Amino acid sequence: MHLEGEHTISASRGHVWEQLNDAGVLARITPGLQELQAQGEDSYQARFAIKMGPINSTFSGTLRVADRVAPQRFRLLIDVAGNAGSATAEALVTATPVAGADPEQTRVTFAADARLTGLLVRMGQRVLSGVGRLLTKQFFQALERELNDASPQPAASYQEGDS
Amino acid sequence: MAKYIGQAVKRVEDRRFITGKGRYTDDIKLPGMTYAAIVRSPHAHATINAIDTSRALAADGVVTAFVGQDLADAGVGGLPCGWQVDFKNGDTMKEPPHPVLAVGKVRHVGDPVVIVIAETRDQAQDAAELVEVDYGILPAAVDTVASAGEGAPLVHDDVPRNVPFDWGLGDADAAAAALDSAAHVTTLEITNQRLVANAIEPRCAIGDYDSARDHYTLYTSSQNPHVIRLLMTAFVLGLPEHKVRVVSPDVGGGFGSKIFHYAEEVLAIWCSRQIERPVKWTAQRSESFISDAQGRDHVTKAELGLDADGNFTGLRVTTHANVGAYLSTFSTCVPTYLYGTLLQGLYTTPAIYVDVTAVFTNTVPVDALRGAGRPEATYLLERLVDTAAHELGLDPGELRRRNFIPPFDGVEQPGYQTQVALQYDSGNYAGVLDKALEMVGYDDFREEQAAARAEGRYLGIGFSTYIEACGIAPSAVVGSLGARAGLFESAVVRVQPTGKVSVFVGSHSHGQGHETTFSQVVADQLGIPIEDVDIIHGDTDQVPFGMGTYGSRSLAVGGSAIVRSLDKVKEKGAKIAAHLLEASEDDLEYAGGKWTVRGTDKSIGFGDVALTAYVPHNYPEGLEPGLDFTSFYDPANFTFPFGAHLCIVEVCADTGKVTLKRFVAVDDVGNVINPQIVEGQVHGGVCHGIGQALLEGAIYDGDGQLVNGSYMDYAMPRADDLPALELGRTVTPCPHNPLGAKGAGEAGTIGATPAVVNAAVDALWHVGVRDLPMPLTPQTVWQAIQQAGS
Repeated sequence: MHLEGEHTISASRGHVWEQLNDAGVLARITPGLQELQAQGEDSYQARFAIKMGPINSTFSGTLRVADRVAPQRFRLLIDVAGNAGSATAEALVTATPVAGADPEQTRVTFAADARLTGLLVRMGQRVLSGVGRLLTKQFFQALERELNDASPQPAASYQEGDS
Repeated sequence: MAKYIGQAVKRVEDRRFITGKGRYTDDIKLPGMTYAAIVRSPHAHATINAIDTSRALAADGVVTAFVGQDLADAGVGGLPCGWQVDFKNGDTMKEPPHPVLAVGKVRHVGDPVVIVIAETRDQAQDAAELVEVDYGILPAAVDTVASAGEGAPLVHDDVPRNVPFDWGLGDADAAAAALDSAAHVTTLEITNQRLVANAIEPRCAIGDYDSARDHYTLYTSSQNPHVIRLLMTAFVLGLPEHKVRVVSPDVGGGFGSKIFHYAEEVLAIWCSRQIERPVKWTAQRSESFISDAQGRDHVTKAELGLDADGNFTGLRVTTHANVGAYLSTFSTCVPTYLYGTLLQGLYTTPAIYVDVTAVFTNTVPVDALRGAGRPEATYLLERLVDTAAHELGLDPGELRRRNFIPPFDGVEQPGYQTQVALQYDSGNYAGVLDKALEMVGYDDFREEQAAARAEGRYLGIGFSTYIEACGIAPSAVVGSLGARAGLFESAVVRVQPTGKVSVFVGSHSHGQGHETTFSQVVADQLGIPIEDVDIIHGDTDQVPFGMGTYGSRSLAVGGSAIVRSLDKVKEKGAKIAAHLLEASEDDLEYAGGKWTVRGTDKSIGFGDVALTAYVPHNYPEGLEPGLDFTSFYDPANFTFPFGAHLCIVEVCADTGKVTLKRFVAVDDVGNVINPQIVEGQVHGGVCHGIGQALLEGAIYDGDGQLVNGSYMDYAMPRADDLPALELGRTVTPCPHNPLGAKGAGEAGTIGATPAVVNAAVDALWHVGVRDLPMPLTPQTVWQAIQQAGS
């Protein structure tokens, strides 16, 4: 499955980059993310709860950040499994300043390829792209709120790991 | 004489089905019953590195759980294949183990790995989700042809190139020579896509071990309980057969998928023995998609040679047949003996050769599905014939008539020996086509088609004239071809002292209406009211033996077994009647339920004779009491129903949508006992065949995931996809069974599919479309129109 999206945010690239690379922020704005626990540098244990068509399930696994090129792009490697199947995904997230915009604007894009198994693929096919679009929209909206709101409410728990 | 035979007697079983009183396996609740859920592989191909059931075992209500190694340690065998097909070079078929629960490796999405047993169904399912299996994902073999190529991942390490056997039939040299010297050769590359069986009742199994009697009962949603008992006791569990009873009560459709012996049946029985409580497993619909054997899945190159006059001179067919991850019970005979042997069709083609390569893939096993091999054969033949007609500018009806085998009744004229092993019993092939053309108003249609074309509307007509081999099958013949079973049928006719009749038959009814059809035969033959007859089936403790229901065999084989027993009843009854009437047996005639001394008014009724048989006070000397006979009927030959299906479609040039305007089916199924039931069977079969042509198809992605495993995405035919079916019939009796019946259960699926696709191609030939892959979705057809136009 391929998912992609983009959104232009009224904030400087530096600011957006900071937010995107703050695990606490990510935990708050990623839809369905219930728990994020640092395991090591750029590596997290994550738990998602996703409702998708006939599937209402919890997935847990790892989330890793790789190939970080500040403040332009990074790669997100997701490997989660639950009773409704598993998902292995690789997402490229980029941040680009919008030329000539005043005040500053940043275009955030992401493109993900996911391999799915189990009920997810057998029963979710019809609703996957719709759900993908919805989750993407929720993510960007939450990011925008995060950038504009001085005192965001925690949506998910984030714990610093031992390392 | 015939008061019921030939009449549309209302189905006696329908009252209970319509009022919700059918008793299916899942309706059965036994005291102390537990419920099983099965953890299945989410991967098409993976090693099992570790299984952790500890969380599941600690969950509420969980009784126990078993993994594959538990069964292996207990000596439980693998699921057997029922038919051995060896390689062309004589090498033995490769038959890798098919464990009941996977050990070490999983080979398709849905492969069972762990069984969890709990007090309730919900608890079992919740606990199953707590089982943790550590898989090592392996690359999967998915594509039918590529999986047999070099370098493809191996489904079974000891089966090179994933080929369990290859097979050939006919004369390869003669076919090659005929094609080389043909004036014209029509060639098609055909994919007969994989289908899901989709029985309305999901599979279900209950194992019940009775420690007091050391006796097992398996209730299972199956088409052939005796065969399941035989396979399970003799090959898998090593249980004494007489200590095992298998019951298949009402079964909500099978379409072939409930013929086979499945892992869950073994699990229910074995687990029940371990915990000494009944164990029930019922498939969820999503589970059915990945655990019921699927059908078709052939990739074929087919070449038909014709001479300058349009006579067929040679046929060569090369097929890759996907068998999935394991050899299911009859998976090996379907793409061989039920496929290659039908490639003569209705035609006199003098040289035929078929070459089949079976291929393992990391997909759900493939086995018989309504028609089983015969739809695949008919599809390619009939597509070839219509395509040849287009290429040569000949009328498709005329081309067929030039090549039809002339009429023969199998009595005065001998049966027709084909180039591919079979001998057809009787047929009048031009007869069904002529009748279908008359019903459709063929000449008028061609005018209408031309007029529509002038307006830019695309109408087309598709032909399909098919033959099928039913009434499976003479045991000695199939035995010589590798079958590991006989294919006879048994029937007990038990006349009760009051003259009421109980008939126990090995044929199983799961939608076919046997309780009605068989009752009609018995009532007419004995001259008694139909209400006095009861048909009992589906229980190994009641019926002596049975090979079950598939291959349109119930009336031709099971019905014939009943007739044999009825003959014995009448023969013995005549002895008793002669004694009571003080007449010679030779002077008696039996009609209207009584024996009459010819030329007199002296007679005695069936009921009086029955009572005398059980109260033998005044009785022939030396004759045993009772009126109860068992017969086993082994058919002399297959039966060969045939027919002509014509389909008219309109294809929307803008959207590619194919709309069925008319569908005419003229079938010859031999003598008909109940025309309404035959019509129902043809209706269902035709809709099934139309479903394959227009809508259905199991789609696996490159990782071996079934991506349309629900009814949101797997398109089944619905009422608004279908026209009102126009049915006709001719009658060419089967010469070798006592009822003259041939079988009707699969005719529709075999005839309908090519008629629909031929019609769509006919509609689009003038814009340059030469072939269309199934299913004919609007997208597929639209793309073909665009490509043809560019």
